[in-house]
Amino acid sequence: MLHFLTQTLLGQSLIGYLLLFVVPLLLPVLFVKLVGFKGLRNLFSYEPKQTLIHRLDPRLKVAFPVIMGVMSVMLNWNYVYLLFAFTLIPWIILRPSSGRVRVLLTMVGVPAVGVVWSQGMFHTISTPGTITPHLLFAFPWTLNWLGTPGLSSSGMIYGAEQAGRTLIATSSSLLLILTTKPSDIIWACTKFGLPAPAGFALSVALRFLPQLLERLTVLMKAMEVRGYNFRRPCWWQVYLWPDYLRRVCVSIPTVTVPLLIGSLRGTGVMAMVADARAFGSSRKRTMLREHQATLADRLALGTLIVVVLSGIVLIGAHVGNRQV
Amino acid sequence: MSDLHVEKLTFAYPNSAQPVLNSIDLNIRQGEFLLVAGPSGCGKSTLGLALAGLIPARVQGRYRGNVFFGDKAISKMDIHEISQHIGMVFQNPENQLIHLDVESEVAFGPENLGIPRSEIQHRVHQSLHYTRMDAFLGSQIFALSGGQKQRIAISASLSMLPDVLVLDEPTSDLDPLGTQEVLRVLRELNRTRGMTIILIEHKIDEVIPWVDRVLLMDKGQVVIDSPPRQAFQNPQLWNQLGVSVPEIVQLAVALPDVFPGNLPLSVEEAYNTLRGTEHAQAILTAAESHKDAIGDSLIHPGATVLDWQNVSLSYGDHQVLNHINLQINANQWVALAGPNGSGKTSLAALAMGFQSPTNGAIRCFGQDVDVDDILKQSEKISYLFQAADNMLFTSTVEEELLFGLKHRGKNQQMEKNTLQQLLGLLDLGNHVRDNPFQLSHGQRKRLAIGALLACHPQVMILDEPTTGQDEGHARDFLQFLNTLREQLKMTYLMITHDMRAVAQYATSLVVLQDGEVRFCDTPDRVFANYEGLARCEIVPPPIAHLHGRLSEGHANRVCLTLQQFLCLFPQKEAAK
Repeated sequence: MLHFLTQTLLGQSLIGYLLLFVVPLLLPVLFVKLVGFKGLRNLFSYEPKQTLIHRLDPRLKVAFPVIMGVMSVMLNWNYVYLLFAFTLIPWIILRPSSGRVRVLLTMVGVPAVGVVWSQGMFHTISTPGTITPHLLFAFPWTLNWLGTPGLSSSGMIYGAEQAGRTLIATSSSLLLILTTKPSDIIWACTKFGLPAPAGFALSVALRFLPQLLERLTVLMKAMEVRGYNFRRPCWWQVYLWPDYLRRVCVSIPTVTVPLLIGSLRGTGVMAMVADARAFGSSRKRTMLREHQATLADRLALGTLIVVVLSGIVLIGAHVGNRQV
Repeated sequence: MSDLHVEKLTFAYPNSAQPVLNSIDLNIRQGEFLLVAGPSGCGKSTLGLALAGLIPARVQGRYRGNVFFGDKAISKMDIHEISQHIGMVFQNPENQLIHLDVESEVAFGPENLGIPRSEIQHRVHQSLHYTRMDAFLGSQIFALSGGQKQRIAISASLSMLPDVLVLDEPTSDLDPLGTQEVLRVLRELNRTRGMTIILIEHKIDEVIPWVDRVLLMDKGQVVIDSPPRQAFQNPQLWNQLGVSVPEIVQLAVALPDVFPGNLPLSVEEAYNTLRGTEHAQAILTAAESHKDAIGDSLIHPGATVLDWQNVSLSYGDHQVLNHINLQINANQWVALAGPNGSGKTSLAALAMGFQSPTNGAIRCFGQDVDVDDILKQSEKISYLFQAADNMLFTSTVEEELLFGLKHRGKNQQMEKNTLQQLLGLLDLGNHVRDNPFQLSHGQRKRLAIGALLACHPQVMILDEPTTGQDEGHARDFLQFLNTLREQLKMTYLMITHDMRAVAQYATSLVVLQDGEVRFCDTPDRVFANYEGLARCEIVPPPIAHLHGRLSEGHANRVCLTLQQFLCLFPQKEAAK
């Protein structure tokens, strides 16, 4: 069997096709299975809890993903995962619910696996001193039409490096979203100089997504109540899947049009509401929120400063900077 | 002075030949509490937008005439200047909440006015207290029920403390007690701060005791403009327009000897007048003589179609439903009432298979409800959503009505017959080719119900079917549903705050509070316990409430209609 798979053209082609298509096909399935429609809705919503991270100054939490993102780009491969480990410390303190952890791991893991796989497949640059790239698995000629010679080790390493940067950005951004009320994010942005209309637009946009998903759920339920079949067949009922996919595709324009019209109609009313609530009437808006700095804020700020300074020293000393 | 003066105001929307407002002249003095009533499409909301300055500033159309705020023409004022004096609460709470949490939402207006932080904090707490939403200060908006969202929208406008507040059906999703509380707050602000209140409402019965002046509109014109006690001198005009005269006013008209002077406008006023009279004595005697009588069976005969068996539902720590045991028998019209957020919609959603209970089971026609197989459930049950707009997704009224039949493979002749029947019943014959979103709110609601009826379900769950419709259309529609139920032996489960509809049509009433069933009986028996209902934030309809109060707690059941009530009185009155 092993001989068939590794030494024959048919076996090699089989493995090649599996390598190429299983990952991209599996990732969306994994995403739907582990996150799902409801999970997606929860993902972008604040999870109310009484934790140290929740109580931190929103400005710190807004600055955190920006700083981590910049540092992950500046630092080289040796320090990227160290930085990623640093972004995990707040998560350990936070102890999110198991449901959220599942969603988070999927959200963080799926793109990372995707990046490693895609770079392994298509980042096939030869290493210095060699003519051809080192391939973990060389594709037979039957896969030539795909434009890649095979799964390269250098590509996978490069992918892992890039994935590390994605992991840092995702981890720190999700920390902000899950532990900070949207109104606090807007408050922090305003404190950083964001104009009030942009803050208003951000608030409406943040409210728009859950509202859109809610409306979509109701529309799909309404279609089912009125006789449209959205029932998903079991995975083994292969013969039912084409019809199910056809029904889903046919429903897209039916659902999209009222969804857009409803949203646009709502937008018109919302603009009038903003006018009726005197938005833009006073040059200087007062903000209800004010944050009293605590010891935890000072400690978090101190830690962040230490990490940033360490990064600057590493880059400045040409120890941790990227090779261009 | 912040009077509003409307001078020959005419307004037509683009692409519409007929003006919505037709040469209106009106003067609204500072500190007035004004009710604007009228059938759907008569121009009430448009007048509200014009008074709030949003027409012509934000809504385009052909605008003639003027609206003055004090001595300034609103059309010449900047919208930001207007908004500091005139506030507006819109019809649909979903579209008027900007932020994601309650505190930010209510603080948004005062923040825009640039007032000190301590004052904003005070206003936020006070306005949430007005609508009894104090406990929801830190809540997320999307976690609230429709009625709770409406309270937040009202609080958000109240926190701005405008000189004039225009409210377009602000209580459509509120429970009866919630409606009274909002009206009480508006009255208080009106009296203590001189705030002018312009209230556009269909709930005349509930609103009329609170207002100083009534405007009745028809076809873009004001046809009645008078104080409330004089507004009903021509009841035929109200009836012609499909806006019913309050029951208490009808009672006073039927008993002119008892109410010779001013018309009573509330149950309290009628009670004070009737107390100690021979009529009150007759009611008390009748109540005492039937006090120990055993009434009809509480269980409506027929097979059980829906059965909630020890059902509980919770979201995390929040218990929505708590050990519910409830049966609905065939051909019943069950009304489901309760305060906002009491679990009414969740209870009904479980029967449709939209979600599974945390504990217990739901059976439909003897079979377990298959969660997420809505299509299978829809062969037996239909569900009218609260936001009926979300149920409309085709480009014409005709397609909308035929959508269900097409997907169920019905033949063309059947489609044609059903379409004609429905168009007649829904009063949408002139809108066959119109886009559903060009219809008025009430018309869209009727269309959504019609679209469900096209599939002839055996059970219908109606989530607030009359919200946003004028009295005439609401009654016509309920009558239509009743006829349909009798002809096709249908069963209804109606979530509602409209107690008059319950009194007139429901065969039984289930009252939920905090996720538990508090009352489950025929409406006349449930309404007799008006004190217990008050704890569940339910107010019986005026006649039932008056009967209950005059019976001094001795009645097992109360009259649900004026005719029944008049029959209790001595012969000469009954003859009248």
